[in-house]
Amino acid sequence: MKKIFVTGPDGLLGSNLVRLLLDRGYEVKAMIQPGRDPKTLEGLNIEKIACDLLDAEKVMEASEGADAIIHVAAITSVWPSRGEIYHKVNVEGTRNVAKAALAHKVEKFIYVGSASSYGFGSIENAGTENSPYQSAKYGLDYIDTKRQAQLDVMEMVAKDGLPGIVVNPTFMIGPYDSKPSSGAMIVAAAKGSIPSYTSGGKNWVAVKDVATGIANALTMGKIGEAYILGGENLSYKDALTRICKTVGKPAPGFQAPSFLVKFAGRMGSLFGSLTGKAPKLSYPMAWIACDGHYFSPEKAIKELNLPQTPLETAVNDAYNWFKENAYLD
Amino acid sequence: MQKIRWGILGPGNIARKFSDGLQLLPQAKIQAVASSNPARAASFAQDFKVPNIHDSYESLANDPEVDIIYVATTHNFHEEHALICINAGKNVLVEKPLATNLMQVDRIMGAAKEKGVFLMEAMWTRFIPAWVEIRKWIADGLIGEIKYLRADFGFFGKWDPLNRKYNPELAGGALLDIGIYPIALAYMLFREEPSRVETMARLCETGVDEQSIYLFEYENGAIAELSSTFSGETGREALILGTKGQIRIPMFWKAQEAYLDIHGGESRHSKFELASFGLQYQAIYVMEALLAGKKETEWMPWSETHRIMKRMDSLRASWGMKYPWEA
Repeated sequence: MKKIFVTGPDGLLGSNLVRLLLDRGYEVKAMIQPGRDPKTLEGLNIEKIACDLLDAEKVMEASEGADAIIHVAAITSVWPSRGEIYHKVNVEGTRNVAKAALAHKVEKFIYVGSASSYGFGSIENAGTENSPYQSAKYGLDYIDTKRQAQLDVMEMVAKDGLPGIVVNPTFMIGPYDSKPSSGAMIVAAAKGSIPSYTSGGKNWVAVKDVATGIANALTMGKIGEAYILGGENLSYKDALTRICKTVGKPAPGFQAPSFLVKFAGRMGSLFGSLTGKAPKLSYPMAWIACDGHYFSPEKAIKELNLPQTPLETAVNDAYNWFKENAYLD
Repeated sequence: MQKIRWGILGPGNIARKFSDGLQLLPQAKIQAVASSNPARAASFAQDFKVPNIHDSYESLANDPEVDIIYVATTHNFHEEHALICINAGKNVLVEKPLATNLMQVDRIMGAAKEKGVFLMEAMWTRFIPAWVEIRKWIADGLIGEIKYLRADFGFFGKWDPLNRKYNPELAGGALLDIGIYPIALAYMLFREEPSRVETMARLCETGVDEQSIYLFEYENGAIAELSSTFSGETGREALILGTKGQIRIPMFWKAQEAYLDIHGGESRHSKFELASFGLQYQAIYVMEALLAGKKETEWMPWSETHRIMKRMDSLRASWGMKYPWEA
């Protein structure tokens, strides 16, 4: 296996994954959404090809000659909560890439899903790859379509012989978060603007560990299997305390009552509907922030040698990158 | 975090419900209380751990440790008590109705404008989670254009000419006490003045309305059928019919659930959280406005209070109902 075709190479995960693949001696062909000029891929020895995920023919063409395909690209927005675009990109886009993988008879097709496709359990009894889906209640097409795409991939494995593996990252933290996605929390912490925490929690993972898990899956992953790529399960209180300490700021002082957080989310959603602008906080996001989304990475640790980098290291990596790239100015 | 320090003027039943909710807001601190009855103030202060106890409203209005005063006395006193606070330069949240007639409303707003203070009528129903969501459904166009609204508010008020419900001296009557809920709902949903109004009221021995109905017709042909009564419990339900679907909201003024039915499509029964009695949701907005230096909120602006009071004045005028101070 020599040549890896990667979709979505310029996001938080993609940017770290591409670097790791290069370190391991793979050739990387990176499929970039037309019109984008990703800064996070500058100076890397990779082949770039501009191609729209929704253009099935072009995807087929672009991925020709690949020994393996890693499909990272997705629309990850949570506003608006519903929309045709999520299904198009996340479900149809995944089908396009999976069909190309089948046609080119690649050795492995890795679909990067989301841990939210499983039930989330508690800290003591965290969700696994077998926990039934619970997130439909949030009414977010992002989560629903990521799960649908995973089901589609698994169906193609069973019916068409697609050499598919699913990986399900949890909440990723690390460098090259240009958007920023999870990093918005670290930027806020570094600026000292996190006054409170919410009642929920989640699984926190170093994005570099996720990249390692995926790269390992190329050789160690079993076809037809799914792996949660996660790290530590922590309440927001504990995680934010550690994040703030890492960036040298005082920990948030109090827990915002859930009813207040959810209410702020409702207000945000209504504001969004009335103005057409994305609110700072929407109702589904507020609800999610009040719930505990805990997952167990045990299977991936055992079967994919998934590393378990401490949260502080991941936060520090992200913090340094944000500092170097003027996000904290 | 900058805390907003509240003063409570008139620590009766409604003030207790409001304060129950206020205690749940990390940003709010109940700093002071004043009552015409010292024992009542003391017991309130004990229950809600209020440090500053005042034996007069003037003293509360001049308490430098208070940022905003919640006026929770009976309707007939709203003008007098709001003016005491406003003239001392205090921001105010006044229980609904803001006053008993438009003339009083104008005087309160005039004073608030002159003193540059925040003022809002405590139309709390607009701010509770259920209505925030229902407004989103409507804004998202789920039920299309609203064609019909039915909303009633009735409970059994035992006949007692001295009770505030029936006593004209205390600004009694169903309209000001509870009719304001369905009327304010119509103003919130249609956001315009009706083009035609029909009304009917039964005035009791004391001369105030023990029940009344209000029919509003709008330019686009939409109709609102609204009522209030002290004769007994009604469904207290709001029914909103739109061109594409409908929403039914049981116990609409403190709603915790709603039924959405889209014609030929989705049916949804949604439940909504309501922490405490729900009177504190408006306070979240009030405190946000205060911190932003605003004098009113977008959701219950002065103009809205003014429009609704003008409408209630004209309804009473058409029944020939006057309060003693309106002779």
